[in-house]
Amino acid sequence: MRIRHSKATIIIAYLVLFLWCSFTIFALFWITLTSLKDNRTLFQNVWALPQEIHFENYELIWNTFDIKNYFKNSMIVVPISVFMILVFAAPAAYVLSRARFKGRNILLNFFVIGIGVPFVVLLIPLYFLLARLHIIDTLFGLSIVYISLSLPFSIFLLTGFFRSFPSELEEAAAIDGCRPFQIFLKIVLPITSPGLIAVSIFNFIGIWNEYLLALILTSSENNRVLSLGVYAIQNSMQYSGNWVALFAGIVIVFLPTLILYIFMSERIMESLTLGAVKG
Amino acid sequence: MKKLKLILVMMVIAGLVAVFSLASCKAEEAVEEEAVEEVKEAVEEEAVEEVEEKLSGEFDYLCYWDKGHVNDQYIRSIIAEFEAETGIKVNITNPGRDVLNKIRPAILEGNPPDLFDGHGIEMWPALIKDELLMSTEDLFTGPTYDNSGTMEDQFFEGIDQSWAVNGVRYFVPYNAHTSGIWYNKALFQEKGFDVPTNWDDLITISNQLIADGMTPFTEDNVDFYNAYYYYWFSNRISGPGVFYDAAMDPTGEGWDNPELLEAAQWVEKLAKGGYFIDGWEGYVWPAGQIDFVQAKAAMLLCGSWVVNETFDKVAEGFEFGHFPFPLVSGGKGSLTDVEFTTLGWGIPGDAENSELAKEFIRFALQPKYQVKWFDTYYYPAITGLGDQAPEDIKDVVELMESAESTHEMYDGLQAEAEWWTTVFLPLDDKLIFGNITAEEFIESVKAGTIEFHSK
Amino acid sequence: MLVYERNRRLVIPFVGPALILYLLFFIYPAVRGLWYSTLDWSGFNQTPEFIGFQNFIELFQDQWFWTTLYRTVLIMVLGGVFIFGLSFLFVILLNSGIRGKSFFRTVIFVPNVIAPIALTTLWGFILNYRFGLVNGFLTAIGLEEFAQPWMGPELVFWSMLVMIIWTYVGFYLVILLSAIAKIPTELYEVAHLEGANPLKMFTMITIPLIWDVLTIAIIYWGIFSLKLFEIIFSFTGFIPKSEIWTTPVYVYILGFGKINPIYRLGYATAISLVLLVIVMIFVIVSRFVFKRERIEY
Repeated sequence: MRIRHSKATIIIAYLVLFLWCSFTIFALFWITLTSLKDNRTLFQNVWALPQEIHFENYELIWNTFDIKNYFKNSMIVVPISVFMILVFAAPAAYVLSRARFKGRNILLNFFVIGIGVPFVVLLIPLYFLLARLHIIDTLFGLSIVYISLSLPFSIFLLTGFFRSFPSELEEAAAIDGCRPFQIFLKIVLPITSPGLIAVSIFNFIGIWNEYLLALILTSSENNRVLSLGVYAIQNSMQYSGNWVALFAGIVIVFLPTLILYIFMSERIMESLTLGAVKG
Repeated sequence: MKKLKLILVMMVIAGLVAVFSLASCKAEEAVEEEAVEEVKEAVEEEAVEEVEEKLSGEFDYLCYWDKGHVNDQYIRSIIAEFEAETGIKVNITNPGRDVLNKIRPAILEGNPPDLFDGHGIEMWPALIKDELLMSTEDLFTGPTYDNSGTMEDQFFEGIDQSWAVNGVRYFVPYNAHTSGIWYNKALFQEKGFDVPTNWDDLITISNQLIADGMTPFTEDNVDFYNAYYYYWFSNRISGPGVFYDAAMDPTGEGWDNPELLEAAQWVEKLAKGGYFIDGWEGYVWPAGQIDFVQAKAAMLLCGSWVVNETFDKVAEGFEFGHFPFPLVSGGKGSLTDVEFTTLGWGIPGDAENSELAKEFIRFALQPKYQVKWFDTYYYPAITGLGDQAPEDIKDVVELMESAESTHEMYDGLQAEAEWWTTVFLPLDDKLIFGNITAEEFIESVKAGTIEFHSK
Repeated sequence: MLVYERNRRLVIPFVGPALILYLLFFIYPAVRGLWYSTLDWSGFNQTPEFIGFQNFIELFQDQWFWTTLYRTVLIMVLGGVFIFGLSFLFVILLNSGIRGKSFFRTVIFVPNVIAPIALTTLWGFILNYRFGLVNGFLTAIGLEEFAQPWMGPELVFWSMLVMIIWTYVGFYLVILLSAIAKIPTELYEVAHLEGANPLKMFTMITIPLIWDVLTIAIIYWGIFSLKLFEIIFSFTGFIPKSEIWTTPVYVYILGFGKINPIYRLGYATAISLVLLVIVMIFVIVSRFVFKRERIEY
């Protein structure tokens, strides 16, 4: 909407946006500042700036609560799962959205049904399944579960993206003698990269913060992921009232996703608007 | 077209079959391997047994405390000394509050841990009630670790019997809690108040506080903390057990008992009399506790763990004081009928190394370790350590040691979790916020109880 | 459209792997899990009792089932209306020629990146009666009498709804923004020249051209909100108050609750099954209602 809007509209826009965003930014700051206080001063004045900086909260979380290991585990499980989801979902979405064959819609809907299944139902059966396959309490097992459970939504979303580009490109390539897989790799994927990136970001955020499955499917110390760490801190905090440590844990958990998002969002918007110009 | 679908389906089926046969193959292999191992072990064991009777080996312990929590550190320090002294290795992992959710599939799979711990009240409906744990009678009737006496004599009055089924004990407490009224000692001294033993005196004190512009009570607005009031009033008026029986009576007639109505009327009186701090129905834990230790209200009815949760947030000059929930004139309650709720250990029924786990329990229940609970303002399960208690919680320990009879927190109703959560707690909240009258409360609870049991 | 003959052979290698994973690790456990709904079982002992449809009969008469379902649907509908309404509003504002568009967009999205427990803790502090921001602000500007117990039994559900809306607006904003960005601006310029007003342009150009994405977003919100769990469960501290129970929360409390050890796995699963059916009906109906011709341009 490149139409010139009146100055009044622009001012109102700035006002509303500033109000909304300053609240959010304030919230982020407050969480971070609180993580640097100690409990006594926190409750003396909840919204004040910290008088002294207490880095030991971070030290406590990082070492005693062993967050550094959990962080490492999350950094293994999450990016790999997100990537593998694309590996499985993208080809499927491509075929399910563009090819015509009997039963295509049934197959697509079969995947889409999965979006509605609440995870609680799966917890115990998955435990048994992984146990029988001897991949219980392994990061590998957890990753496979994350990938499988994300397929419905990813395929659903990707079919939306895959549907909407002109087929002339593929047809031209086919005429040129390219095999389907090459077409997929060299033409389709690049064009739909905004969709792939978008799906990846959603999956990343979802899996990074997921803890219910991780809780049931892993048990040894070495296999805990970061979200479990925060969950454990929150539980401990109930019994010891260590709020500031909880906030430190929260900051450690949201910082990577925040940075990732800030970094990636520019790229997404670029590629999206580029697509628009091409028309 | 059809052929394609058929191929696709067959491939999928083939794939599934392949995976499953692989899995079961591996499972079979594993079973075979295990069988071989067992034979080997049996042979070895025999050889070892001939040499000496000493316990050795290792066992798995699933701990209720999250890793890094002070209680986890406490347990690990005991484990370190245990391993050093006996050579038995303890494999501890920390599922935290979800211990029971973790154990559930492990037991079903036939691979339970050897030892775990938690709140008795949570373990009861899950495992103890159905007798899925190993009996610990031999542990209780046996000697303490240093052979200085019988195990069961050490505990606070009656708590070893908590969660016994048909007289058989399964649960071994290591930590006890009670509940009562925490009060601002400095304030009471300043005002010259005596510690009240019945509610008429406490009402007088409260009215005096209100007249001086202060607030008598604050609370955290956790629904089961709110339930303390009703439960304690019913205990003081009708004695223990009546509340429980009424709740579990399918005909609902237990609720016609006028004593239960009287208890509700006391709660209503407090709710509508301005005795609670303003706005507390909007509180989220730990707002009430914080109020209390920052002297914004004089008293807090809560569990004995409050000091542990708030000692690092108290205002200048604040002192903790505690007295048992006062009696009601004409009631059947007694001050020496002390509420106990316990945390402790359980051993799954088909645990393999139960003997090692029991040895660990004996070791950990030694007074020298039990007394260390005081370091974090928690309480041991064994009696006789009162003089070593820190000042802030001395009142509580004295109360525990004075017990001549005990009852479980909430009259044991928290273990009847579905009734407690879906029938009672929502109505209790309404009562204590002054939104319904005592009569309406009893009527609704009665109706809810009847409906609940008719399902 | 890939129309040439060979496309049918693509199905197996392209869809096959995903299908296998899906069947093995999702469908198979889901079916087993749903089998529990015919049992009376705590999940601990080895002897579940088969009771057929009794769990389902019970849940239809369960007052809590209906109350929580009502709340769940309320969140979906009201939440959806406000979230999409606000998202479109922000789209308009962001596209009105201001600078710093990506900054604003990022900040609005940020709550989606933070763990639910952090958000609920934050809001717990903001809405706190005694020292919360809201009441503090009201007092500071002299409106003390408007200070409410925001987390009290009457208002807690609405406070939570506000938090939910604030959190998820950014997510749908990003989706809508990217969809709208693809619309060639020439279309708007031409329409403007022909004298169309903004509302007409919105309904005749914007909505149709983002229809695919918009319907997917709506369907996703429907599913997501019906299953929403963590952010609700932790809203009032470590135990959710009964005033904010929604169906997923109720299911969890029944089957897995800590502190409230009900442990009725069979009954909980039965309720999940009903929820699943509701979600499926919603998806099917939506896809039917939203079906339109795809517009290629």
